[in-house]
Amino acid sequence: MLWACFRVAAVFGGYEVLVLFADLEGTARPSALPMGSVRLGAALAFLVAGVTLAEMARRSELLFLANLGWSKGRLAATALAICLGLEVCVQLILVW
Amino acid sequence: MSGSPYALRAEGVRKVFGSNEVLTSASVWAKSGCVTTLLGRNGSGKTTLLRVAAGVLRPDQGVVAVDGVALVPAKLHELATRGVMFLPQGRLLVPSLSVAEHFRAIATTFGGSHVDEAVDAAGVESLMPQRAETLSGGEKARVSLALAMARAPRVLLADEPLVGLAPVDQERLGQLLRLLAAQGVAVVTSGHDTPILLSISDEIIWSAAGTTHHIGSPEAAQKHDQFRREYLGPGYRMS
Repeated sequence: MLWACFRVAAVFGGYEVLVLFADLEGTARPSALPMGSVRLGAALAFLVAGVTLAEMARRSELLFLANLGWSKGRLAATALAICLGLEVCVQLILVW
Repeated sequence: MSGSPYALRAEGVRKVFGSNEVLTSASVWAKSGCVTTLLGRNGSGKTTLLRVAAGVLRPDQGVVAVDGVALVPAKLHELATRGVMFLPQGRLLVPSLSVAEHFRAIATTFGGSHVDEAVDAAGVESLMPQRAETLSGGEKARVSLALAMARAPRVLLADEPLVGLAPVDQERLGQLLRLLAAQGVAVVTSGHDTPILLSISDEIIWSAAGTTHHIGSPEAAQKHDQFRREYLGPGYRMS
């Protein structure tokens, strides 16, 4: 059910906001950002993830997943793993 | 296997939404090879009871048991691992996925040995490339039931699967529900499409005033004075 995990991994969008801040502030990578920007980015990430989950619940998508034996916790954990994987990739690209 | 005659049973369910007590003490059950139908007027709590039985809603009182073993709390993803499938009112499909992708998800999780048979029986072969959001109501209903067949559940809880469908589609879906029961699935359904539901059911449960009454066979239901008077109405003709 990677499709669903990737949707929840829209939390990654929050990380992209960090990258955008990095560009705007002329820093090379997100880890060099001031804490205020990091917190704002994290808040946006949670917001995007929350909105995505709420939308999936509204459209009965979570029911389809539950019928396949997927709990919300398993979905969130898989999405988090995807996010971390993507973050590593982005970091590697930025370092290069 | 336990000695329980019920593949699934929700017993003594009470559910309150705010100040509205929708269910006071209601029960529903699923028996292997049987179609059990919940009938009742709008607002009588059929959907709430089915959602509690499916582990989608948590009851304020009552218990959900699978094969006689109580699950506290019952959750759909856990029930699913015990062979329960829930078709909610308004169908089960993910709008952005194609019909084929839905079947692939089922096949990946539960094996694909029943997919071809289900696709044939429901007549949804031509719909496979289409995204769910492009399907008509009748097509969505057929695909949802085909997914249930492909999953080969032990228990199918289908909330108003025939609602809003043309008579020909109701007939076809009714036959699919019967086919599932013939394969040993414990089917529980609900709705207001009384003639077709009575024709496919083995047992009728009447949902009224927050509780449920076991009416028995469809024939018994049609002869039940109070059920006739308060649900079927005086104009209903016995089949």
